[in-house]
Amino acid sequence: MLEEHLKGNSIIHKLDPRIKLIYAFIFSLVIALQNDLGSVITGLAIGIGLVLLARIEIKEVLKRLLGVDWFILLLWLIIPLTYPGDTFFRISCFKITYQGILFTILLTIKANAIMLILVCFLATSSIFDIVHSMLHLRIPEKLVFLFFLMFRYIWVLSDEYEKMVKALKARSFKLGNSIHTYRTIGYIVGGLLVKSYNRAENLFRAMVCRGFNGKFWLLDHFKFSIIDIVGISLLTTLNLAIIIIKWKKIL
Amino acid sequence: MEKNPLIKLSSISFGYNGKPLLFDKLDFTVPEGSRIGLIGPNGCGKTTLFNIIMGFLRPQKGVIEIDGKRMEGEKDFQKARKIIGFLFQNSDDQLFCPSVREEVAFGPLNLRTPKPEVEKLVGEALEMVGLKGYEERAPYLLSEGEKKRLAIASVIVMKPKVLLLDEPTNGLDESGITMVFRILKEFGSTYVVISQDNDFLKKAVEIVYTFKNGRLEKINEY
Repeated sequence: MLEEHLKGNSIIHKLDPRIKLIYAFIFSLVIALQNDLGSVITGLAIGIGLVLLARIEIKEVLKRLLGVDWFILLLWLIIPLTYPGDTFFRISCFKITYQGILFTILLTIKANAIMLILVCFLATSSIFDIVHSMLHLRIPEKLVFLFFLMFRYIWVLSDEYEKMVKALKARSFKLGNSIHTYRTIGYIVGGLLVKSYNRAENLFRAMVCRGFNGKFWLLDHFKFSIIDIVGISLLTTLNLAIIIIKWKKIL
Repeated sequence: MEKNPLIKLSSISFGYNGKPLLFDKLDFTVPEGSRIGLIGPNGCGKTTLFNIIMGFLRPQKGVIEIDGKRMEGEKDFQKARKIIGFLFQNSDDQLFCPSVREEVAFGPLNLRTPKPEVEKLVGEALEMVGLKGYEERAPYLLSEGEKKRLAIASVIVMKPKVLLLDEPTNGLDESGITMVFRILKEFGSTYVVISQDNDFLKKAVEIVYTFKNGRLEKINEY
């Protein structure tokens, strides 16, 4: 997921991964804290602008957004019906509120804007650079490597899962609404849990075998360039724009 | 003259919780410069033996000596692991770094080797296993054979005195097996190999042991 848009020559690709990580966090926080339509729309516009600047394939970005919007769809089914406020319209005994709809629109825009920012900043760095940036930014090592190993083992577990699914298909298994199906799915989930436990144990042994004693040593270090200074100025200005729009109630 | 044993297990008894003893007063000696093969059916305890040598499993009885020192606790094993390289059966269990270069550098960096020296060692190890030019690739995206070669590189880069190899040819094609054989020949030091591949063992080792009644028995000498 993270490494699909790695190749590229845009200004975003060239930015120091530490800056991208910091601004991914700042943008997400600033957008998440907004509660007026003007500033979240500005956030969304900035997200779209940054994605265009990074020259990431639009089709791939839309796929990522779709993943988020499936969850947002659930919110659309719940919040307008449960949020207190003035009646917008009524279906039988259900009341859809004007404030509920507004709040869900706000959430939808926020989620999409944050996703665009994350795709733009994180997908244009390798997992290797992200992990290094996190360590350079003094994020606790345990947390960083938990994140990295999670990413690393998603691949392994996904391979294991695919193997299991192939084995099931090879023996004519079909999903259905039966005890046999549920039991089989249980076996797969259980199998994956056991395998991930074994993998974790073996991985720790492999690390200990190679002298690991709790400290991760870095081989490379990042260097600031003129692009990074331009990037910091631009990204800070954009963040300020969101805050000023809310503060001055421009939109 | 009798060679100095790098690994010496004396009267080792071991059984997994609630199960009958897998090893009963097992003795095993790995003299310096020896090339030993271990063969046996699944579940006979080949990998368990390696885990005991590395200190991951503790025997109920017996004495473990590595490089002349008796192993008493985790601290002793931590020192012992610096002179023993352990290649796991499944490379996916062994590789975890984001790039090939980082993977090979992981061990030397833990040993606080200076960075220019680490770079040199990484280059040499990758050259030896034929992975030069793969430095920035992600280990988990390599083929099975390449993963195995990378796992070997990450072990030999630490210049261990003795190598424990658990099924090094497992899942490899003919050229991969030849490559492992060539690497072992170049490594030229002491090693113990678990393998079911008789042809490989004939070429790679001097003595082959198998497990019988919880002990090791010499079955072949080439």
